[in-house]
Amino acid sequence: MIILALEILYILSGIVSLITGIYSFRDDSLETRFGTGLFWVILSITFIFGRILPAKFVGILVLLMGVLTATKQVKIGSFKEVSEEFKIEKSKILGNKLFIPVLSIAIFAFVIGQFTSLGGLVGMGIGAIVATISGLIITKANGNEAIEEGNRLLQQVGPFSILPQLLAALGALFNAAGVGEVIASGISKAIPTGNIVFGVIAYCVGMAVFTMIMGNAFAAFAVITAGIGIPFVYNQGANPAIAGALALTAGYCGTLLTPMAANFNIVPAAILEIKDKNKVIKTQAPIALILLAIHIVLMLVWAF
Amino acid sequence: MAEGAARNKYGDIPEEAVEDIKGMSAAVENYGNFYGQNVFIAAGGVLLIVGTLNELGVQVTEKEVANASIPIAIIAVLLAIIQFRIYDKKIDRLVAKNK
Repeated sequence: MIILALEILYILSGIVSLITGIYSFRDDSLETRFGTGLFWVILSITFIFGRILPAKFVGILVLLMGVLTATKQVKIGSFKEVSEEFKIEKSKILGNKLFIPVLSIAIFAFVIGQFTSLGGLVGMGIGAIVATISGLIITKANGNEAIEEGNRLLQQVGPFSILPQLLAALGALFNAAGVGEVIASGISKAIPTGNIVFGVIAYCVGMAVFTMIMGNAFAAFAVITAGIGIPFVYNQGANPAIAGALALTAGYCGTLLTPMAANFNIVPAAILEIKDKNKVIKTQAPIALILLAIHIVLMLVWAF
Repeated sequence: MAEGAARNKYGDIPEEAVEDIKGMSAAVENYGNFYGQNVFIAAGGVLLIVGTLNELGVQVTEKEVANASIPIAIIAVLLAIIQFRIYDKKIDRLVAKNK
């Protein structure tokens, strides 16, 4: 049941991506329209036919997407701009009803995720369908506008939209390649396996430091969980939900401390016209360090 | 908005205080975003944790991860409140010194 529901949602996601691909191919103003179109069509193939295609073939497709992105073939096309006046006029007519579609995604994801066995993903998918339909009814827009706006949104997020899937796959890849064992054997020379205190400290601090270097806690999570988390924390009997949740937010403590996370720490400083561009990081530093210490204690006390 | 509130309260405020207010404004957005988002069951972070751990052979559900994210969200809010109180005192001092 869950698998069937998820499969339908994946196919719907694939169709959104396919539409973006077709729009990109047709976009005469876009120099790289062939590469951009190809990127989105490939993504749609992996979503729509992922279950029946051989894994190796999908792997080749993903590599091809990587090549297209690395050679800067994927760019944002042109869209119909909605005028500011139209937005203001519409918002006056619709008022707070506008929030119904927006909130329905969150409410469906939460209720279905918390109180049924279908899970949050299916809940979010159903919420998104309800939001689209209720949005069309409330705004009396035609279906084409929904398609065009979906195309715009997906293009604006761009290739980053597949980052979470890629990073989860990276964790599996590291595991298959034995990267975790290499890191684990290196660390086990310094700290004894089975020592939960050192394991938890290494996991939390490792997350924070790796996030500071990479500027991205998601990427750090895949690497550090395979390398340190599995042998030193999960295999020692930690509650995986608690240890996993705390490990990622321990990584966020690193995000608060690094100029590598420019969109969180440097861009706001520029937008707010702060003179010292490291001001945001300096403000966050004491909280980040205290929180990191709390993460270690909390994981030790609560996950074991 | 925070700067406006401070100008309302104190009138003219020294530049150092303005910088502090702007720094806190950016920081608190990050606190709320980072430590609050995983409480939502379909947040990107929750899906990443579940996806990565399942790939590594550790079984866990989105609901468990979202629930396990609640305590640190509350702690982050409390710490942010404390930091705000400390900055409020500091701005009080800066304004008093400038008068």
